[in-house]
Amino acid sequence: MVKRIPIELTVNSRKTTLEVSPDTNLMKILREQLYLTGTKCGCEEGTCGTCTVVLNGKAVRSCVIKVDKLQSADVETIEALSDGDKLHPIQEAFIARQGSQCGFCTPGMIMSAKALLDKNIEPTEDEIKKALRINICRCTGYEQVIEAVQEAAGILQPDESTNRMILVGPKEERNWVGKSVPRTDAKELITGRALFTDDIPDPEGCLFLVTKRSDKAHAIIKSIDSSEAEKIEGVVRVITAKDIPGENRYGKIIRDIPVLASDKVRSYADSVALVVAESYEVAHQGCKAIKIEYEDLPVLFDSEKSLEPDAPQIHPKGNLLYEFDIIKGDVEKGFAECDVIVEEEFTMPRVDHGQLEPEAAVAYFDEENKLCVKAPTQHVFFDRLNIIRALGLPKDDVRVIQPPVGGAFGKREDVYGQIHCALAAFLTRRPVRTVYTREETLAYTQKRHPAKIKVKVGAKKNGQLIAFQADALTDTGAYASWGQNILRKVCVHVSGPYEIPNVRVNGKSVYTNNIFCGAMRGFGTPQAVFASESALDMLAEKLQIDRVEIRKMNSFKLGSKTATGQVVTNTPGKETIELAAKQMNWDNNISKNDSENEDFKRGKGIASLWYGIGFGAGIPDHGNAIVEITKAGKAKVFVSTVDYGQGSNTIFPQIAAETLGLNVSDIIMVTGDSDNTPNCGSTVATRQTFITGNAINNTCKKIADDIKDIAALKLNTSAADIQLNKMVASQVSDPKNKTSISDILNSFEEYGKPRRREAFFKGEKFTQTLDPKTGQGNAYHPIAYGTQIAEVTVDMKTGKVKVDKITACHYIGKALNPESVRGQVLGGVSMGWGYALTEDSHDSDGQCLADNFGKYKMMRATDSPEYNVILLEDPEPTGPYGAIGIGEPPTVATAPAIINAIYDAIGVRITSLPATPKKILEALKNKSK
Amino acid sequence: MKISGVLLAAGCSTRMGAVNKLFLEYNKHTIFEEVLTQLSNSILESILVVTGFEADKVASVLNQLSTDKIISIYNDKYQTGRASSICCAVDSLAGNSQALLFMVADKPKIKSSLIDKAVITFREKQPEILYVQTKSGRGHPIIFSQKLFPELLELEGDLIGNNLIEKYKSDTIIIKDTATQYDIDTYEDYTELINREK
Repeated sequence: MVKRIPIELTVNSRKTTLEVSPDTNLMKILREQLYLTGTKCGCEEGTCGTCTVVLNGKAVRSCVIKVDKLQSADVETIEALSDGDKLHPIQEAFIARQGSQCGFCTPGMIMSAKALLDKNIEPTEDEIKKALRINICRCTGYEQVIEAVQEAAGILQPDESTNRMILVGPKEERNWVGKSVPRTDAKELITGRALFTDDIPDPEGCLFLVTKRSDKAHAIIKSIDSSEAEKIEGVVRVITAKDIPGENRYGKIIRDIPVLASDKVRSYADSVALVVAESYEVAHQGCKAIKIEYEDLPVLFDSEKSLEPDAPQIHPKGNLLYEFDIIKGDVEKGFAECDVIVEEEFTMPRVDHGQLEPEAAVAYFDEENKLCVKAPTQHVFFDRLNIIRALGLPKDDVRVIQPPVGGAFGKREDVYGQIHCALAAFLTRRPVRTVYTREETLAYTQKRHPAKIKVKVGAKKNGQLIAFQADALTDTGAYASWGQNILRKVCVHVSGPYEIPNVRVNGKSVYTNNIFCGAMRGFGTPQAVFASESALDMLAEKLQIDRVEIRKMNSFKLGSKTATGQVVTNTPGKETIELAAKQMNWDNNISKNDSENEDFKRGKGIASLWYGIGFGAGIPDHGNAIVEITKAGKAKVFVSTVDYGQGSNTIFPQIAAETLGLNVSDIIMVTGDSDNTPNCGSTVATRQTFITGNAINNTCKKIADDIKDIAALKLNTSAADIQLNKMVASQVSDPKNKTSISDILNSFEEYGKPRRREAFFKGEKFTQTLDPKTGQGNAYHPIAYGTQIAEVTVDMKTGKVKVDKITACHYIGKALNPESVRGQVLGGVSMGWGYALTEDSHDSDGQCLADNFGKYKMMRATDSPEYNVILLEDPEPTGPYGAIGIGEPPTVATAPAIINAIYDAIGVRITSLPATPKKILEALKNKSK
Repeated sequence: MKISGVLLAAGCSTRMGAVNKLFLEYNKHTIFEEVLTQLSNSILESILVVTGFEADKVASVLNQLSTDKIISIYNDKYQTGRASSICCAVDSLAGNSQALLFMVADKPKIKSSLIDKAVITFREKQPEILYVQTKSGRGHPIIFSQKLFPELLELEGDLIGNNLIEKYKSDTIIIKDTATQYDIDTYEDYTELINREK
């Protein structure tokens, strides 16, 4: 046993004496010994900032503060800032400015802001950015955070607009829809009270699980010897494939991932054994003691070699996961008619979601002996399905519950510790928990598909696009996950939001021994749009046509047919181009200053996107909502939608309150529980606003009709003559004739109205299965459009690119909550910024070498550009209050806009992401040769 | 309220002659797969398929599905008539369902939206029985509440609850289906359906 040493320190003004292990750190002491779990653990390597506290007046990352620094220290954590309902001004400002989305980074962010404002009452924007530099936020893109700090400092007045967002479109006044209502879950998050999975206290008798992963990229497992591990004191059990009672495989569409590898391993991410022990330390020791004997197989890391006849076979059915074709018109004939043709190949790397809450799970048996699993997930029912299959249990014996989720971005579409913890709890009959280290997250969990896309595009002299051809190859790694659907989305979107009469696309997704890939914000469209928007700029240059002009000229018109033959029914795409160009003054914006300063060159770049919302292609796309009116006159909304920061728990109450005539505070959301909520499908594909939003609205309409029926009787008029407005039902023709909605809700039984209503919404009715040979058919509905313009400065000496400003114009149907939509746009842009400039998992022989946030570089506050957001509203008739959704599109056009701006600045075209300083300097050198 | 679906797929298909009607081609797959698709696309969370005649063939279709909604049970008395399949289903589901929705495997025109409407109406109005009325008479699906489970177990032969519907008339809700619910009993029925679709 390690000798523990006594320390005395002050935590949140309270003198505390503790005995601690000499090699522990302040974050562990706070979380594990003082149960102050408002301080989050995002990496334990000092790189993410989620554990920031104020130590002796300075903001520090508590995970790197060793015991020797703590004697007599004064520590302040997020818990000290609020007292019950009384919040600190910084916290109030974070709520008002929507400075928090998933909320996992927020406590640390607030502590950094507090340390700053304690010393500097009127900081400049740069000083704020510098102070927040230690805190990574993956959701917000920082601007609303910075505004929150400015409001807390009194630099911005409450409600003072920064004019950084413009809404364009028809104006309509409603009670709740269209208002920037603060997030309903913000208070829990900004006070640190929200319990994320790893914050949940250990259930009694809890065991700790660590996963033993493969030591090889491709090998046969000859034997697994766990005897040494089992001898270690505190190791309770070592679990291998033979212990799985049910089916040893899981997956999204095809079930090709083993729960635990049995015969062979296909990548370094494969789980081979699980060690459950009395502590994580012991479990880690146990892992090291497991001996696995392998027989090496030939490895395959290069996706381009995957289909060669002598390539190693990863799965029995061969290495081609999926192939998809689109044929429209006659592409050969089309190219023959073109005056100008460009051809280029584009390469995108494997990148990570970088969500700040690591993968985690807790499994336990409840009072009724039901196996419960709590985990950050995007779909509780999918997790349950895979758990019951692995355990061979009926589904009523397993319950999956989703606690607050610290970011997802597609990562949590696949399951990680959920099945493993459930299996371990099932076998040991004790609670079991796990949490991944940041290294595990970055090195071994699902990634965005690396892609190679060859594009050939041709036009007439006047700029009219005539023919487009693309060959796309995506590397799904060792397992399929969402690989087929992502490839299809690449193919459908790669020709862009443009009318082109002749299109041919061929896409292939192949297996390799790399880390597997799956869903990530954009779902294949960032790859597709980077390739096509870069190629379009090359074409514009050859034609000597302005880059805005060529896009406007070829944009979809009413009745245009997309590459899959879908007839376009609305055309906001062109308007987004015009609005963005006008807003940033494209024609007269002098971005080049070549003569003045040879060291810094400026440029501007544009990219347009389209994004089909939902599963598309006729795939069942269901939302189901139950709404229950309580005796107290509130409405409970039951849906399985997960709010991982995108704001569904705020916009859904807005929809319900608007339709029912209640206040948002009267709507109680019940979400993410496989036992108590109806299945709304996965929270992905930007689909929840449209699909589940419609289901909720349809349910509420039924109840609103009931309310109107009762009101009509009370007010002696017809139901058609009743309007519902903020708790009052009144006669339209005589608004003074009115009655309270609370009273009506109380008397539902009297009038024979059910308290619980339900509705179902099926999105697949708008789309159809695409023709397997030509890819023709209605692929997606609704469709989002957008245009982004980047302004950059390139440092010619270092090759560094600074993005000065991003103008982002997005068509969203209707902004249900404009500030929340803006937050989605800013966050999406920040992720696109990383895709353009810094993010790369650094694949090397099947390993992701970027396994910490030092090597895997995401945008920090000091990198954040000036943002200008334009939301184009034009209510979509099939959407709830006209909304279509906004989650993914903002991340799609950013990278091509930045890369096109770099070309404009320095005349070199980066065709392989990310555009690192090294690549830029090399390209400059090659150019001058 | 949990409503489980029951798909009666044990019948002998005697009127069809040599072929099992469930495996006739329809909508790019088979009649049976079409009915399963509509059921699994519905709001129902779990569906029990009662098999009997050519159970192996039915099971092989079920094994291909990637949904956790569908389970199956073999009715060894299937030759005695439909009531034995109903008993099988009630026995197996009575413990965890507050109502059972019955569907037959030879009506491929019934859409998931009709099933949804039936389930949602039943949950909201909570009658003892709900059935679908078509132009040509009583159709499917039909839902029975928990209270009637003991009486369902008493059914015999091919009688399918006419007496129950009469008995609980006042507690019965009827929803309408304007589409025709083709019942594929004979090859002529099948040909007519196919010709109509053309």
